[in-house]
Amino acid sequence: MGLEQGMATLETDRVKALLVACGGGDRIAFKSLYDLQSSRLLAVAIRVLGNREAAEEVLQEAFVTIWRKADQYEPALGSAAGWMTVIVRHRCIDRIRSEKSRTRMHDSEEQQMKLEGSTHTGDPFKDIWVSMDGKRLRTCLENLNEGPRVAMLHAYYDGYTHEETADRMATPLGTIKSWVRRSLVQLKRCLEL
Amino acid sequence: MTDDFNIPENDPDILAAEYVFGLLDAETYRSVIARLETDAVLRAAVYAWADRLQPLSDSLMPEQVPQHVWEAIQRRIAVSNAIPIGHARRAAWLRPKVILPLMAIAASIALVIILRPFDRPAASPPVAQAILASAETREQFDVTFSRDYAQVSVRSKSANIPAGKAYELWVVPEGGAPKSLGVLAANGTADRQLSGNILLQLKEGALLAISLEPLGGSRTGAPTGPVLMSGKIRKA
Repeated sequence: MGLEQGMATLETDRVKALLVACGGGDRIAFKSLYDLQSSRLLAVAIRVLGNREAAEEVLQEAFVTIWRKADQYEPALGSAAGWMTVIVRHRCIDRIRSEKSRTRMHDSEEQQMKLEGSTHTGDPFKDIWVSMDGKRLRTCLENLNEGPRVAMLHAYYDGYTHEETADRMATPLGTIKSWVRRSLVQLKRCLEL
Repeated sequence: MTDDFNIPENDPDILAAEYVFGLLDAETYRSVIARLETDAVLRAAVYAWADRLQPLSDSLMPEQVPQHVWEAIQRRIAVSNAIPIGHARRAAWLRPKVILPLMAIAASIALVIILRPFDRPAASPPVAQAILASAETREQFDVTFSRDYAQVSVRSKSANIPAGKAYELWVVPEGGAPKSLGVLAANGTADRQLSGNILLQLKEGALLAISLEPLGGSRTGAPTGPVLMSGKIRKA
């Protein structure tokens, strides 16, 4: 194991230990967990919501949830970072759907600019995923056809429903649903090779 | 793409992936939440998908978090629940017989040191309030705003929210669409930090309303059920 990988493992273990400690009511651990993870999770919320103010509110709500549900985290099953990311993304998606007309209208211009910034590639997310550290996932994403990959990444990065992705990509809803499900199966198979 | 993807409609692995992505409709989402309590296979699949996709989130550039976010989290934890929900359930050993002798030694030192930085004074003086009551359902909800309307609290001694439903609190601007102030807990309470444009709507004389909604609140951003009661904001 290289130094970089070793450091990453230590960090992963530390975050896991802190979350477990939160489940036992340890407030000091909670503050440390917040210090380590809040910047990363805010980036996730800003990406999904496209709005910093809303993202900061969601981050607040998410950390209250993380504190209150920390005892439900099962360290044997997966990483603490993954568990917390799911909470933040679901909070973002709840917010988008409860304020759909306002948020989407408010952000449509910004979202459009964000998308247009890299449309020359045909894949608006390419700048993100080609530079990420998860080499295995990157390879597996490359193996997907562009349409299904973009549909799946709209769901992940923009919190889009199937309907919104269909609108955005001007593609029939049934095709989008099929693309996403097939992409998920293909992705899983590829990651498990 | 080939046609060799024989995906069963209820494949738990795909269901888990769709849950992690946030692709499920409200009803299926709730059923998955309920199922996760008892279905260890589905739970393991959810954790696995969360980790498979984690590099997508890790690839984003971290953002600086302003100090007020942590301060708000501290306040909310201090007000709503001092300890994680499950901790109270688990900590059966924390009974007086066991804990009191330990407290005698440790409390004056450790607890003061540990809790002081986190437990800020919970209650700020109210700046405004409203009473929402219904003669029909015989319920009353007391709404209090504090910290210059940045904090709303709802209390009720007579809440009788139907099972499987939720009450959602709204501010109704004159000539504008209602804006949600949040969903009440099953016991009729709420404690929420407010910020952004909604603060512009909160002032003396503004109308508040409570509507009947599906569990989790309206999914459309507007009241979908009947308005059960309303009341105007008055200065405290």
